[in-house]
Amino acid sequence: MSQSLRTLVIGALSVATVTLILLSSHLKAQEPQAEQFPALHTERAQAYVRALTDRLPYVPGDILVKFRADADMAARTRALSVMRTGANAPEAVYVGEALLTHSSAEPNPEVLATILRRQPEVEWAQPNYINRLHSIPNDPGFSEQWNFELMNLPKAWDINPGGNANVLVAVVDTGANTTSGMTSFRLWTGSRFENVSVPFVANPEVPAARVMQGRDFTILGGPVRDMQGHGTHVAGTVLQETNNGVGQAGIAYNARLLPLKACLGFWDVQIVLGQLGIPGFLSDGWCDTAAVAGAIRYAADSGAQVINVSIGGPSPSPIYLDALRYAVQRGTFVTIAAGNSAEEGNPVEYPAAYAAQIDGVMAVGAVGPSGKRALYSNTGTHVEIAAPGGSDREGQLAMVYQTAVCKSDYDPLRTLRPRFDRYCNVPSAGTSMAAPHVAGVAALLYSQGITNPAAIEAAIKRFAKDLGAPGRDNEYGFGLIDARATLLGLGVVR
Amino acid sequence: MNRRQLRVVSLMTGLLITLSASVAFAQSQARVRQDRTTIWRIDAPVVAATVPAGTLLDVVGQAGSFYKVLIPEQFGGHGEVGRIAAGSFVFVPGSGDRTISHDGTAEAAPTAPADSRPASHSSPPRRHDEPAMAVRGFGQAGLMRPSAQESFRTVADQVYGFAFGGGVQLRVRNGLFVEGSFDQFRKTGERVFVYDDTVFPLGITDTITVRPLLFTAGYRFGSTRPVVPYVGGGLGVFHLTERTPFSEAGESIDETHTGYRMSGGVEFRGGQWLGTAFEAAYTHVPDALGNGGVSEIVDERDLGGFEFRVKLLFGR
Repeated sequence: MSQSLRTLVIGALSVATVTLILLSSHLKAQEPQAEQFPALHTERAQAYVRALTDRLPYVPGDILVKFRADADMAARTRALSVMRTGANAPEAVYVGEALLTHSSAEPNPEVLATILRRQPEVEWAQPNYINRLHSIPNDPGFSEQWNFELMNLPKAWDINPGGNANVLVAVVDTGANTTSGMTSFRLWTGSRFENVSVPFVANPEVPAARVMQGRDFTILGGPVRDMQGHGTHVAGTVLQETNNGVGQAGIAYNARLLPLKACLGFWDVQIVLGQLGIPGFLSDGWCDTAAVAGAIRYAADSGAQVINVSIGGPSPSPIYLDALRYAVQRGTFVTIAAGNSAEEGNPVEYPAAYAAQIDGVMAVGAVGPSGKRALYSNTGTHVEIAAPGGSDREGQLAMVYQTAVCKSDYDPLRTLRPRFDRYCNVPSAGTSMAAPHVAGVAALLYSQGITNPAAIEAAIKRFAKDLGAPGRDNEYGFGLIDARATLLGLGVVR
Repeated sequence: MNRRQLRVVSLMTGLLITLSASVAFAQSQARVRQDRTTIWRIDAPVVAATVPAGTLLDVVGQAGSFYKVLIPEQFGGHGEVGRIAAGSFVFVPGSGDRTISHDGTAEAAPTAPADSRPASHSSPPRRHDEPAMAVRGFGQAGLMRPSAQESFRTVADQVYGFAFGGGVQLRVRNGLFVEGSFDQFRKTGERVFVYDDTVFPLGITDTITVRPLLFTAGYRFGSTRPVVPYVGGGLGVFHLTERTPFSEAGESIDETHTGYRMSGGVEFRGGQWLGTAFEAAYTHVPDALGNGGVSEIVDERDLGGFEFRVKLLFGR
């Protein structure tokens, strides 16, 4: 009897549960197309906000540790015992072979990294540095793509018109809008928090058929969206729809896009603040090294043949070196922006600085329409190639134009209710813009049959137009990328 | 070399050898044994010519106990055929296997005259058989193996290729000759990129063409014999082009280089007007390659190579 009763209760509960689920989904369907953003991990989100407000170069409390291969679990636990929380860090996830832990009890991860590096079980340890996007945004204006002419691209399309859909290009950046609809966010509107419905429209210049499902590696999680425009701009240079009579052109316009969000823009940060209940505005965004490295590894595991990373920062990050090697070992070619700080002391930037150590990874400097190095473009032994990146010093037409979300729609100086459903020709300049030019050519090369990342790098170097001092130099690397010459390859005589 | 090319080569070689053989054996030479030997007209019992001992005759056929011969020019002949009694001449050794066309319709192996004496007992041949100077034209087909093997193998998958051409040869009685010739060697392959010994084909057709214009001087050993070995050497210009379907101004190769050639071969004379030669040649065109492309990577600088060719010669 009791068994029958139990069965009855279980059955009733099951029916009730299913009914609730169905009712719930029905109610959701009745709601406007607003989508609730997933909840944040509060402690880490607060750490990110603190990094922004205090302008810290790292995420406080985050530490990345790679153990030696022979270190077993006991040894790893012993090594982590030097932390204030001991080995019982409240949060730990692996980014490749590196352990990312977070503990708010650790005020200075640089000190902690130094201590951890001294442990015999540890190969390296580093803070989770915050990197910046490498572009100089500007107002919308003219749409002339001098950049493609400069790199001899139109004639390269005679040989290989846009590559093919077998090539997957991952853009590790601020993301891309791949779906359309309204999403409700809790945002500070100057005097109070409001639930603001924000419209998104997928970029019409990258058709859905050519966009793979991306992934958000930031603290936001959830669907990949671009609320900054940088990722959309960069992706546009690589593979924006071409010959469709709309907007701009892209280089490998038949390739597929894998958008990976590793950076937060202004509105991403506002969403974080809103979820934390912190009033006010923070005017900066960031890309943490753990997210970027994780995205690089994810891209390689997803079969991407090309990855573009228009991101960098001044702190050495061995996690980048490991991630880049991991990607190249899986047949992925990586382009990295060399950095935009030449006029600010020209610091060595990472991950660009690692490019010279790995065949199949290239650090890209920027030139303006004149073919001369853009003054912001970092120089150094790691610069391997130059590509059009635009130069604000050479005028409005000297920027790189690409289709991206209309900047006026989300300009913090103009609106408290952003929208990401309209697209414009957006001018930008930076090594961020230069790197995807090389990524695009790499995608074309892949589609033509060069499937080895090191061979792609060798081809791009060999056929570059030498600029600056003869041979390789620290300003232009091996010179300005020449798309046509690279795609044309070698005959017997030439 | 693929099967189709092999078949073409076999066919051509067979054709040339057959043609050469039929020309060589269709005519044999004979030497008259006695003074005042009569050559009769073919169509009537009328004397066409009376020739002295030692006269060399071209035998073109057999008719019963008579042989058909060309009436020599110096005895009034203008290409007419006459007949001569079988016992009044001896075949010249080495002038063919005496397989003479019987009445022009069937091959028969006539019995050599029983009373044939060694040629050395006859009067020495007269030099008037060979003109003081003669001009011949020729066509040639050959199989070439470029010296830049690695470059051609990388782009075209294979090294060997055909060359076709022709020329003019001027030969003089003392065995010397000079020759002007041209031909064309063409290979079509695919443009590539090479990295660490790995070749990545790029799917772009690449056609390389070499057109040598050569001037050769040489010596023929025993130029009156039906089988004549010869050697020669010379120089010339090599026109080199390399093109793709996408080539634009400045991207194509269109150059001329100077090169050298040594050659040697054997010519089979098939009568006064036809001959076939089998020739091996080596050309050297220094520094024509190696300044770009795959040839630079593999450090090959010579555009020349070895060639085996067959020539068909027309003229005396």
